[in-house]
Amino acid sequence: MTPPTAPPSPARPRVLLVDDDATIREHLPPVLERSGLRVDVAADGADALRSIGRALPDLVILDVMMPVLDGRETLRRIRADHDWLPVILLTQVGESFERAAALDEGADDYLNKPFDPHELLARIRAVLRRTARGTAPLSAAGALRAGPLRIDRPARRVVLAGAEAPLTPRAFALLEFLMSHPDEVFPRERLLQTVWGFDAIVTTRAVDHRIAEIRRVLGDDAAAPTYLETVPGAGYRFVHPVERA
Amino acid sequence: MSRRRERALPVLLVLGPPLFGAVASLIWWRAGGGGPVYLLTDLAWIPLAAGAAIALLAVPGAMGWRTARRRAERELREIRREHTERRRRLLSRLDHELKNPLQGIRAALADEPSDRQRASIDAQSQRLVSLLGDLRKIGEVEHTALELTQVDPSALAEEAVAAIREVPGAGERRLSVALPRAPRPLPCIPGDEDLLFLVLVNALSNAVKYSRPGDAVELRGRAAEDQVILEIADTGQGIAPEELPLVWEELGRGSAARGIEGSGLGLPLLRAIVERHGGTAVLESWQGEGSTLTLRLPQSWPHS
Repeated sequence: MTPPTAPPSPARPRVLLVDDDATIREHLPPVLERSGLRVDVAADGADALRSIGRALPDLVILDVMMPVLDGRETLRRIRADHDWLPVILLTQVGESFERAAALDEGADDYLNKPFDPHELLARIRAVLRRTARGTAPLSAAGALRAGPLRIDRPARRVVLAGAEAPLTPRAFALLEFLMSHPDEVFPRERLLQTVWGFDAIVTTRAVDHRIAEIRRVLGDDAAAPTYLETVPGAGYRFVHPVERA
Repeated sequence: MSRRRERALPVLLVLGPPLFGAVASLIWWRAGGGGPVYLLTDLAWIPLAAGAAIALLAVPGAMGWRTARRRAERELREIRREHTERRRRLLSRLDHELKNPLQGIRAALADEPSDRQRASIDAQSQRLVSLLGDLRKIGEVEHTALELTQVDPSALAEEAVAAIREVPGAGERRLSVALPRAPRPLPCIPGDEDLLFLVLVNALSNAVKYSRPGDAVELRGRAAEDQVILEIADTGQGIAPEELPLVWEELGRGSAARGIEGSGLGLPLLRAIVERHGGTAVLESWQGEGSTLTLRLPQSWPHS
C-alpha cells in the first residue's frame, strides 16, 4: 500500500464518519484520531448533511446502507453542493454493483466492509494527499483529458487524437480508474478489487491482460510509456498529467 | 409401483374399449357377420353426432394433459423439497463455520488482557472475514456482468497450466496437457476470459491439492459437435461415492478433505461460472484412484 506520510497540512484534517452502526462510531474514531485526524460522527445521511452544513470537513467517510438517507443519495446531495469535498464510500458485502456505481457517482474511493482500519487510514491519507495538491478532484469529472487522449465517462468512450479507440468494458474501467488517479501507483490486487470486484479469485493475470489491451489500443510503448507505466514490484501508474475536460 | 399403475390406467381406459370392440368385430366378421344394418334418421341430427364424435376423440387428449400436469406438479414439489433440504444443509454448515471463530473470540475475551488475547481475536475475526469473502465470491460470480469475447480454449488452458506450475506442490505432480492440433485446434468459445481462466485454475489447483507427490494431473481438451470439452483428471485421493453430491454444495466438503485447507467453495464457484456460460460441470471420482472433472462449454450461445 502507499507509504504513510505526515498529514498534508499542519492543522489536523477533519474527517466526518457517517455510519449507522454504533460500535463503528464508538471504536473507529479513536483509531483515526491516534493517527492525527480529527473525527466527527453522524448516524445517517441527513445527520451528515446537517453536520456538513455547519462546518465543512476535509473528507467524508460514508456508509452505503443507512436508514433515513442512504449513502448513495447522501453522496449525490453532497456532490450537488460540494464538487471538491472528497468522499470515501464504505460498501456492503455482496453488493458488487456498488463498486462501479460508487466510482461513477463521484466517490473518491470505496472500501468493502469488513475492512482493516489500517487500510482505511491508508486510503484516507491517499485521498487527502490528492486534494492537498489544490487542483480540482478528478473523481467527479464527467470527462478527463491527458494530451490527445480523452475519456468520456458517462458514455464509456475513449477518443485518441480525434478517433474513437474501442476498449472492452473492463479495460475502460481500468483506464478510467488509473486516469482519475494520475501519478499514483496501484498494486494489481487493488486494481482487481476496484475494477473486477472479485477480490483475489481472479488472478492478477487479468490485470496484465487488460493493461496490454489498453497499451495496444492507445499505441503506448511499455518501455517508454506516455500513459501507463509498469512500476516493477509495485503495480501500474498513469504517468501523463490529467485535467478535467 | 403405484406410480406405474397410475400412469397405465388412463392408457388402458382409452385404448381398452376400442381395442376390445375391434377384436370382437373382427371375429364376428370372420364368422360370417350378421347382415347389413341401415340407420335411418333426420339430417338435423348430424351436428349432434359430429359433436359426440369430437367429444369422444378429445377424451384421450384431456386425460393425457391431466396426467402430464400431475407429473409436473409432482416434479415441482420434488425440486422444492430438494431446495429446502439444500438450504437447510447450507444453514447448518454456516452455523458450524461461524460458531467456531465466534467461540474463539468469546473465549479470548474472557481471558486476561494480553498480546496473546489480541492475537487470537485478530486471527478468529480474520477467519470470519475470509468466510464472508468466500461466500461473496459466489454471489458476485452469479450476478456480475459477463464480458464476452471469443476465447481460445487452448491458449487459456496452456496459460492456466503455466500458472498452476507456480503453486506449491505442483512441481511434485506429473502435469500434462493434451490439446488437439490435428486436423485443427479447439475452436474458440464465447466467454468471459477472466472467469474461464479462474475455472481452469480452480480445477487444476483442486487436482494438485487432492493428490500426492508423484500423482498425475492431466488437462485434456476435445471438440464435440457444438461443444468444447475440457477434462481435468488426476490420480489423487478421489471422493467416496456417497460424498460426491456434497462437493457441489456451498461449504460442503468430503470427509477426507477436512485435513486439507480449503473453503468448500471452489467447485460451487466453478459450476456457477460454467453454468453462466451455458455449460455443465460433472465430477466423476473413484475413491483412492482419482477424479475427472468434465467441463462442457457451448461453442456458440443460442441468444448471442
